[in-house]
Order: sequence, then C-alpha cells, then structure tokens
Amino acid sequence: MRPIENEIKAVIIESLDLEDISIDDIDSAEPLFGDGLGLDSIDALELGLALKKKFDIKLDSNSEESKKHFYSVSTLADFIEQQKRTA
Amino acid sequence: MSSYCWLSKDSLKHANYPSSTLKFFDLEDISLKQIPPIKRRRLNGLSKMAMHTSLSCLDKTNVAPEQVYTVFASQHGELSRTASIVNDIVNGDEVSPKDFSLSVHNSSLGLFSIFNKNKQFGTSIAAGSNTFGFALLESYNLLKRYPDETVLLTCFDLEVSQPFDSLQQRHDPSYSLSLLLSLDNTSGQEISFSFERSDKEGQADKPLAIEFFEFLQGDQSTALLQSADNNWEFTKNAL
Repeated sequence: MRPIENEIKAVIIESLDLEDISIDDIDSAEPLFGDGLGLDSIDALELGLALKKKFDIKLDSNSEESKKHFYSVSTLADFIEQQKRTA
Repeated sequence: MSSYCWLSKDSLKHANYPSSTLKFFDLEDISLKQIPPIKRRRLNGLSKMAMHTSLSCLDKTNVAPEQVYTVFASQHGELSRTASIVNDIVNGDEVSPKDFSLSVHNSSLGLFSIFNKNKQFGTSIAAGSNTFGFALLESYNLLKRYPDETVLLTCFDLEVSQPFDSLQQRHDPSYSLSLLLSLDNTSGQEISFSFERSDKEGQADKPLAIEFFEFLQGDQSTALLQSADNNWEFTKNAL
C-alpha cells in the first residue's frame, strides 16, 4: 500500500469525525460513498476541503471527473499523485 | 407525562446550583451509544444534549420517537458553530460545509426527526429569556389543535463561551430539559400556567426551564418565576 493512502485515510477519519473507525478499517478499494463507508454529499464537500488543505490540490466540485476521483481511497491517491506530478 | 433534565457537571461550580438541588438532574457524560457512530458524528455538544434528553424522556414512557410532535427551543441555538464560521470567513479560510449545513437554529430538531424517522410537525423556537415559556405555549397550541397527539418539548442551551460570554448578565451551565406533554390528564401531572409582561426588569438565578424542572420535582404547588421581561406562574393541579 502506498504511504499516501494512509495519509488520505487519516484525513478522512479526522475531517469526518469517524471516531470509531481506524485506518485499518478502511479498505483502499472500497467505495467511500453510498454502500461502502456510507458517507454522504456533505461528507464529500467536507473531505474535498480537507484534502485541498492537506495536499494543496485543486478540485472542480462540479465535474464528473471529480466523482471518479472520489470513488475510493485508491482513486483519490491516484488523483493526488497525478496533481503532484503536474504541479 | 414525563420529564428528564441533563445538566453539565460545571453546574457544581455555580453558586446558583447547590448540590442538594441537583439530585433530580442527570449529570453524567452523554454517550448516545444507541445511535450508530456514522450518524452520531453529526451531533455536536448542543444537539447531543437535545437528543439525549429527548430519547431519555421518551424511554420513560411507551411513546415511540417517530410518533411525537416536537417543539425544540434554544435561546442561543448554534452560536458556537456560527461563531466558528464567522471566524473562518474573517481569517480568509474556506467555511466547513458540515458546520454551514448544521448552523441553522433547527439543526437539532432536524437531526432528531431524521434519526428517529419522525415525520410529524416540528417547531424550533428562540425567545430570549422566555424561550422555555413560549415553547410551552407553542406546545399547548399544538395540543389544542391536535388533542390526541403527544408533544415532545426539548429546551436546551450550551454555556455561552468567549467572546459572547461578556454580554451575558448571568452565566448558565449547559443544560437540556425534555418534557412529554399531552392533554390526557389521566396520567402524570397536570400543570396550568399564565404569564404577563413585567415593566420591572428582572433577573432569575437560572434559566426558566431549569427553574420549572425544579418546581416540577419539588413539593410546592405554585411557582412564580421571572424572566427578563415577563412574570410566569405555574400551578400543579390536583388530579
């Protein structure tokens, strides 16, 4: 597992007040929203804000692309690494 | 029909709350373990108190949380969340979407209705130092209109923190009072009340809700309670 995935999981737990969940409880490939971790649209906005602050990335909240990036921890890691490479 | 009051342990440090008067209050930390963590994380200090006393009050009866009409009353509401949002704006930071979505006065009522799948009428009230009294009046209006229903009245406030505490004439500990009310006088205690405007500026020792709860638990049959600008009279009627 890439180190960045654990960093993302830590941001998810802290920014979304998931007090009873640890990094090990989150599967990197599992969907974050709906059936997976059970997060909702407010969580998506809150997580977007936290990730922007932590990794200094740019997000377009309206794009279909963003939805794909926010599918799982793994897809978020891909997206952040790609932004870091092109920055 | 039923009453339940939670009071912050900080009340033990207040001169207005001698330990002898606290025996009817719940002073324990709030856990709300019956609510799944994924939902519970939406609750802050204020809505946790309101949810805790609402569910504890209902637990003492066999009235289901999804059935009750609700009146939630809070003088200051989501003051600390709103102050945090204003601070973020002043500092040029982006506002937390969660804070923004839960900063309205009826947040606690909304969360109660969502968590309990309650689709009945709900009202959120703020009325200064008369907040509890007018919430009781609103509950009475609801019961007169829907006489077969039961109203859950929850009156709650967090201790006002900096910088707004300097504007308070009296510093109250955090509290939440829940009452389950109905027109059915075959069970529980029957209470009547009246109020009138007072020209004399008054200042009670405690919030009206706390004084009412103490009256409810005590032996007195009548209580004359004063808010900043009203006199309230509560009477226990013999059944």
